Amino acid sequence: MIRLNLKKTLKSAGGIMALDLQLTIEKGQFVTLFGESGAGKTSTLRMLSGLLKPDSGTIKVGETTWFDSHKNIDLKTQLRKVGYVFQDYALFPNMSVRQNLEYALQKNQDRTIIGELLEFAELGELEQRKPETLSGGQKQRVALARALVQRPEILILDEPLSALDLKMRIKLQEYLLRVHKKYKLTTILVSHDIGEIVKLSDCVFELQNGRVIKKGTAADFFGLNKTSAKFRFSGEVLKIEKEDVIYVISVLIGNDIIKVVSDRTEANDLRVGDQVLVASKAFNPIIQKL
Amino acid sequence: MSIVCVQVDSGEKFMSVVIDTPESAPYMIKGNKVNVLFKEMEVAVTTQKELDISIENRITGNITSMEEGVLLSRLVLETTIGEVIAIISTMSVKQMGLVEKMNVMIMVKLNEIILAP
Repeated sequence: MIRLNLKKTLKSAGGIMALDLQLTIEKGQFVTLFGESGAGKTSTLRMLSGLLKPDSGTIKVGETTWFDSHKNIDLKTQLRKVGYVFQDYALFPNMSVRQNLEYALQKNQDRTIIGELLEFAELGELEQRKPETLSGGQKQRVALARALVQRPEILILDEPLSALDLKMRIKLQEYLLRVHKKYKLTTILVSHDIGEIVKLSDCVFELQNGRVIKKGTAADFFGLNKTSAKFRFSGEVLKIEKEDVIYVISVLIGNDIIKVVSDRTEANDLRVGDQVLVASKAFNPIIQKL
Repeated sequence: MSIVCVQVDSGEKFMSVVIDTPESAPYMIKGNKVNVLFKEMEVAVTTQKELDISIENRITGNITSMEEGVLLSRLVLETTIGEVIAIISTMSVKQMGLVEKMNVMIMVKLNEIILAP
């Protein structure tokens, strides 16, 4: 179990924010921190991994205290068992794939982990390549493999897939789930993609102004369990057009755009960019073999 | 699969067919509160109260307002279950001679009713 109790005054472009956060994450869970930019998600993760020092509070992981401002405990970043994956990969450009992984090895650490991770990430054939010759998806697999070299207990994924195209994102989502299970990790994801969050996480915490304002299982959190409708998807409103007495709402679901006819009572509540649930009964759609 | 009978606050009964069963959906317990949802486009309107037709859910109501479009029209109806919106073709509105204050019956097939626990 990870127990965070953090206070930190953060300065950003939008002014000063007082982060005051209590968060408990069960061991082995895959959780997502959700919320607007500047809500404190990345700062929280940086404090957990030791990259940012809280003004006060405690960080406890299992029975170990990583940080306690009263007892003057502040475990070094290198000693915290955290793997961190960033959106921009943060690979060393002058090193090969294998060297990027080896760089993360601790003194006297068994080197067999490198081969195991290269194989698991299907990077064996690419191990001598430099990052610049790799695709975005391949780079992110290298970054993920490197984050696992020190056998972390906690894996932090800060918008790891947001720079990738949809096809690669879906492939890597499955890969993230496999990594999470195989290495028995506690994984903390930052993501804005509701489809991705629902697919990956056990639990979602919403942050706003440095505080947790809502939590729940992914399906409950986004209201997906609120109807008996089985033909349901989450997506983003792209366009709202009035036609005759009705409205036609275009919604992006995955990489498909679908259209939903709606009455003004619903259409008036919607704005372009809103995340929405689209649902119909399982009895309605037709199905045809292609 | 189940057919669920829901009594709404005004006493009217709604039937819904769902692919869930009480085993697959814990909310399906007698006496449990659910919301009943249906789409405005799925509401049929008739002036004949004794229609022999395979539409299970029927409620009478008065047309309180009507917005006629070129192809479709939006009817607001005052019923015992509250305000119901029906979107039907302007062709039907004209053919049936629907006007405000008229008493009509609205009908929704049971496969169009969504239950929201």
